Amino acid sequence: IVCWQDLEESLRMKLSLTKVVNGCRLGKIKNLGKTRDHTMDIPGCLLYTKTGSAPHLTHHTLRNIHGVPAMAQLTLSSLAEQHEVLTEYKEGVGKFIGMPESLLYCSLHDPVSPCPAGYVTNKSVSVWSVAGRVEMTVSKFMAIQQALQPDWFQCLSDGEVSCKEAASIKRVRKSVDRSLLFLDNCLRLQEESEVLQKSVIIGVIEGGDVMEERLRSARETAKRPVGGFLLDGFQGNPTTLETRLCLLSSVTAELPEDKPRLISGIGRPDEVLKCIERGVDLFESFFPYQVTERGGALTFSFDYQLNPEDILLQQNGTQEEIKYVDQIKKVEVTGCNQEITSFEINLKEKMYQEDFNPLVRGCSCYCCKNHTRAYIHHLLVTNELLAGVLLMMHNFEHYFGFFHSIREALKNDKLAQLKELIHRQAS
Amino acid sequence: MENDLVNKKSIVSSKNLPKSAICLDTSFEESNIKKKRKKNKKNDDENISNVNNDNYFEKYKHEEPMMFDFLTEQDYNNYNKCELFFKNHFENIDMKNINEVVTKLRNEKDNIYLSNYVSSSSDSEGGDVTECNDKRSGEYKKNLKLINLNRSKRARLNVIVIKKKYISGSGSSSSSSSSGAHNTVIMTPIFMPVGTKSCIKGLLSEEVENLCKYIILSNTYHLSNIYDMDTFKKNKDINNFIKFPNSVLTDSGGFQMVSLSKRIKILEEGIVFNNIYDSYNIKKNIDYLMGRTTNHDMSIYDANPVIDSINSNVNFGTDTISTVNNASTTDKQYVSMGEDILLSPEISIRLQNYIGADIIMALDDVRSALEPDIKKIEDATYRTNRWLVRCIKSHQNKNNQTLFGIIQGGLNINLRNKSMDFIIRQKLNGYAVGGLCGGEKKKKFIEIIHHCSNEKVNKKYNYLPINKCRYIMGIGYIIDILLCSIFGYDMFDCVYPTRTARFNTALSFDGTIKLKQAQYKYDFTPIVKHCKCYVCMKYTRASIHMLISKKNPIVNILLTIHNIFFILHFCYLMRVSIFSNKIDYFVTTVLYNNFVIGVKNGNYKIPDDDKKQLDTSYNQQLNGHDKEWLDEHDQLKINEKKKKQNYQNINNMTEQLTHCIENEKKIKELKNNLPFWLLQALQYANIELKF
Repeated sequence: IVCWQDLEESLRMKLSLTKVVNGCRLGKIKNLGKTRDHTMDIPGCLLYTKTGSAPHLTHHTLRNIHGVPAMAQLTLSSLAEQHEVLTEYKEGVGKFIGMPESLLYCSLHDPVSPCPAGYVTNKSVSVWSVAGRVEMTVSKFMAIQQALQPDWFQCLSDGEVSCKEAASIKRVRKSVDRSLLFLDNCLRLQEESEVLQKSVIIGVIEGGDVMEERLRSARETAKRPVGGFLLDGFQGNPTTLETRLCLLSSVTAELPEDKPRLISGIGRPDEVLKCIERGVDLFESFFPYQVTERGGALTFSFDYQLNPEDILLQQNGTQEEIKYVDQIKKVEVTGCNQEITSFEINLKEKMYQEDFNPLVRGCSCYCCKNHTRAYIHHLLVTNELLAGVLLMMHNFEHYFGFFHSIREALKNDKLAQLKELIHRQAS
Repeated sequence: MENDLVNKKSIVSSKNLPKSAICLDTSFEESNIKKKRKKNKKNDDENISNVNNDNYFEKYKHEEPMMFDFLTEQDYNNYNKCELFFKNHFENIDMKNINEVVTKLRNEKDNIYLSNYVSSSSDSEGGDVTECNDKRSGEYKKNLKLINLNRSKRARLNVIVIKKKYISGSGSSSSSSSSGAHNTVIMTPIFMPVGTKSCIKGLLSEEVENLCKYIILSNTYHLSNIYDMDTFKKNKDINNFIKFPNSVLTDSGGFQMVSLSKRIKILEEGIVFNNIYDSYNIKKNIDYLMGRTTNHDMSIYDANPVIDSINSNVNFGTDTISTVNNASTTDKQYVSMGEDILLSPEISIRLQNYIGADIIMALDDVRSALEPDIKKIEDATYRTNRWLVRCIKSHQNKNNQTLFGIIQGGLNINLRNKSMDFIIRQKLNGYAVGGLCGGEKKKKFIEIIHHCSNEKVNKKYNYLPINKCRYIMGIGYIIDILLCSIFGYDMFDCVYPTRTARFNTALSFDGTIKLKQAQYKYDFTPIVKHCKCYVCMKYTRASIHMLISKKNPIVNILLTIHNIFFILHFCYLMRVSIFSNKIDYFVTTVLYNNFVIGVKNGNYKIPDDDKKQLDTSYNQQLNGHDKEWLDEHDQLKINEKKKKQNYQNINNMTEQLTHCIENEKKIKELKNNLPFWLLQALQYANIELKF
């Protein structure tokens, strides 16, 4: 039995709920960061990064985006190899990468590139970087965290069962056991290190699709002095989603109210809303990045106060384009471009060649204020670096705006309208 | 173990399994072995990196480049004051009145800035005949004016005032300092960053605006291929289209003769490109222009006379047709023959008129600097002259766009003279020297740039006029910019700083830093110490190295920003040095940083190192010119030896003296390292090496 007293310092952040409506939690996390003077609104999202920088964006361009989350998500898979460099550097990854003022959360894997299964043992978990596999024991993992000095970090965990379609109960049980063991060992090491005590460990809830194991994982993790919870392995295809959402409600019911709940791998606006209803607080923002990478711009409306006709006008401008939305759906059905969702437009399409509208009418992002769809189309066709920059700026701002809108809707008891609006655009 | 494997395999094959199964089996083994190898290799790497860790700082010891300490705060202040003075007096005036303003300022007693003023751009030679008449009425009719400001040896500091086209407040979110200003005031020598397709790769217009306070460059050939000319017309010129408040220069497309040399044919009418783009836009654009001009050149398109008038030198025949990759073509008309596009002087100028940049370039017949056939170069030179006449004739926007002529003539002084003699008589507002920096020997390059600006020795029309803009095309290396500046040129352009950034290379005072190299893994210093660009303020070499190793594309953008900032800052330092008459010190410091420290650090490779070549064949016969140089060099060595002996006697004297000796040592070291062509250049430019 470990004595956890010494870890109190790391748990001084405070989550206070202002409102809970139909399971949706509206509130603030206070006393964040090493200086304890940051706050973060929930429900919210983290800033997705690639090796510590927002994709395509320099620190300077990032400042042009409104509503950037206070906390950025780093992925251990991309930084593990920098262990020695960062140890030598001593001042933490935030300053190293030029984001000293941002809060940092370090997750194990990159949500955009899931790792291959079969590399978790009782003693180690592997993460995959550009150069290949990096095997991590608890001590190596904690040594890396000590070098990174993030504000929060996801504890080492066995998340493989959720990648597989149907894992045996035995395997699922093992994943929970292992994750708890990793957690205990990590907490012990954290206690011994002065540097690590400034960081907060986020406990990981595993257990695949087995209710019993999920509940055990949640209860046991909640007993430990973690700063918050990561709900791992709830992403999946639409058929499994419903059962997983059901699991999700049961799991969050077991968790203490005063600690934040993060979820990995959920990004689509409709799914985000469903998870918020089941008590999830924080999301990743890899979704706008994925949209950017396929040459898309987020155009879905989240202005629940507009009437439906205005929404169509805002999104599409002309009648012609409304027809086009149907075309996209056809493309989806035929499977040429499965990924494209109904929340975005594909600017690589030739029809945007002479479309001099902004990406989204009334959008206040740098891209929409200064450039047209035709220009972005041209940049995409000529393979200019700037295409990614401008699209990323818009998509981030749009996505962050969506989360702002969720909070506003919760505040004003209008979440039903927002949900209805998103639902209508979802299919 | 191996035998075991073989046995297993033979068993499998004896069972007559399908081949694929065996393949799978073996491939599995192979991959296992590969994995093992990889693992071993990885372990090796780790070992190495651990070893490196210990000896790291020993192994990668760097010598810091020298700072520009000879420039005092007073020097910077004086220069900044001067720049501000010109901004204040010329930014908000109407271009029409610029001559009056200059005269008024000259007559002010306490004015110290215009003492070197020779004559304004169109006082003596401005414009063509009609404009000469206008000039007498006192109104200045052009959009560009050069004012001579200061000289330090042959290096010159000039002010170029260009009328602004940018309509500020037209939906732009950026709060630019230029709001309300009528003119861009450019201090030269200046490097012009290149945004080939109208945007500098990866940068937002806001960033471009913040970085490039003066002028950027774009390219007609690329622009007219990717944009509809209507875009520029609707947006009121390229400046407004890209929301760039300062000046823009467009190249005519002549340079593409070299960069796309395998895809072009040269005819008297113009250049035929086997287009690299989908030709939809450029065809539409050309048709659009030609529909509006009822000019003689319509005939090119209608009657297909091109093949009849082929220059005898150009081998034009079936090979063009065979390279056509578009099958759906009719060979009824030349232009529609596949992807071949004719860019004539008329078309180039009209396209540039539509694009609407502040400075436009004449179409020239550029030949590779390595072209061995002098006849071809001669033809090209004369053709450039003939094309210039056509360019001037078809230039329809003389009041808002300044046309620069281009001097050709390869590496031949005679041809350069002939070219200058013709082109300078056209009385343009600026002249460019083209066809250089294409891989020619540095010695030749120096001779040409020395000759073309040698106003003291050459007769009139055989040097670029003092009161006009002098532009050398394709210059981008720091040392080349330095050399051209000490010969009195004003403007340079090259894709080098931005392109090299995309190859993970940063510019610095001691050469180039290839940040991918392992030595930067633990280097927690900024790319360039004291650099004020925000990349250097926020990131370290180690963090850039990490981003490169992770293939994060953001690195391209960061290094592009650094390189542009750096090269423009270099030009700024050069201008301050010229303004304070310290060009000797500046040249010495820059050369020492590159040719001594840079070489030591492995960041600079001396181009055309003729000394090294000589060292190996020292006793071989030398031609007269080089021998002269060698003699002088030997003499220098002897002198230095004598000096050294002298110094040894008084070595225990004051600190100042040891400092002096150190400097002397450094200069000796530098002279030893400098190739002959550079020493020659310094002599031509009358530069004395000193600290």
